[in-house]
Amino acid sequence: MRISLRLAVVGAALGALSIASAANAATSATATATAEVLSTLSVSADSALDFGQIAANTGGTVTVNADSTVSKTGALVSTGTRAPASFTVVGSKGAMVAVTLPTSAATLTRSNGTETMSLSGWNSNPNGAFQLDATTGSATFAVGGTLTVGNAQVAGVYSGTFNVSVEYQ
Amino acid sequence: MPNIQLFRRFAMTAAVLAAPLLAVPAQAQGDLLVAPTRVVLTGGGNAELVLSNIGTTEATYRIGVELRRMTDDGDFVEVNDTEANATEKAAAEMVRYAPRRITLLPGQPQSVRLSARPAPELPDGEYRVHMSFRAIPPALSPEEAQKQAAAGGLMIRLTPVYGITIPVFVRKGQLQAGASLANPHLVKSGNDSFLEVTVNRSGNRSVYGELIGKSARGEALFNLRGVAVYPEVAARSVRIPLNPEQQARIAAGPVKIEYREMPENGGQLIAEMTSAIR
Repeated sequence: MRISLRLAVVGAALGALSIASAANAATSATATATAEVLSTLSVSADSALDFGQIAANTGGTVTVNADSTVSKTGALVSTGTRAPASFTVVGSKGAMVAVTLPTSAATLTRSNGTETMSLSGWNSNPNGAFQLDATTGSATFAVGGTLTVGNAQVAGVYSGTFNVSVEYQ
Repeated sequence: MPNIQLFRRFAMTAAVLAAPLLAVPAQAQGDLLVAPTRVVLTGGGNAELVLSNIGTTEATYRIGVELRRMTDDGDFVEVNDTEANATEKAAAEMVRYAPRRITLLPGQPQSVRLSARPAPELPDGEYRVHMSFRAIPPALSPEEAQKQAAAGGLMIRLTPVYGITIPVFVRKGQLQAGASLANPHLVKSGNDSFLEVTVNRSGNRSVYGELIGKSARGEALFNLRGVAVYPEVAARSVRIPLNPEQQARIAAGPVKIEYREMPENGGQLIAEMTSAIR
């Protein structure tokens, strides 16, 4: 896992430097520097949503939940490493962050074909808004869902995308 | 190294045993940082945002405007165009921004200009959109696609298009808002403990600030930054995570909870209450 934090400093302005006259040259001159440091938010992907290995048979569903629990329905065989997608968020210490998941199913389409599979039942862990660490300003969250595999799903490469976004409240 | 793309081989045979997992090297792409994270334009105006590529490879980002609604537990729900109400549609129409697509090298920042002008005939109120910054997944190279197709079996290439959204508020007219706190109580969820409190909102705009907990002797108990209540909800619950030490101190006596403007906005008190919490 890699954490990158870049502070955007916009409109940095060096304040007035008080000019020491001959009379008070011995006393320390005070300089004020002001910089507007904006709050930032960054997100990095740590690991991908992995449904492991599936033998379709007569189809069914494979569920990989954000809390890492896995389950399946139907006659298909689900084995191997199954893991939710994981992301790292870095921002203001102690701030609340909310995750927005897709409201509808993602469609995976076979390359050079029209066959599809769907991925729905999106869930995240923590569930709902969560707080960034009070010391590091960092937090991780996971995303999972349920893959529906058809009866004798045609072999091939199925590709699709899903949207995940994070936001301060 | 982030795995943005997932290539996994699935055994497709009707046989019970699955084929060995074949992991194709994933491409790192799309990590991003955005600043500032909140924009308020009173009566309209301009703002400049900074998008930075914090990943390890060149990436292309798409910038857009989306709509969200807050739920009564502070979550956000996506609102698509067909569901948008008049206020949301007006908000989406008044915001202009450029560029809409940026390709950045690792470590490279670029500014995005934003402006909003509420039309004179629009009623007074707070109009809000959520600007989104998302990486566009790279296309699969023909060689890679060929290799995957030749491998046979059932393979899934699932790409999370992840990004950051920031709220942009356009306020028209003289707006005011207030808040009150109610019903603080302890909640257990699995092994985690929370203090849950309801923030009631009044008026015609959102409220935003931090929740500060203090003991009877004035010692700090907790500080939850960036708690907003948007105009579409009159109240929301807030969950403050508590560690065992905080739990013990809260159990020891009455707690004063303050809801204040963020320090950078002056830190004025919006609402407060003192109560024993259990």
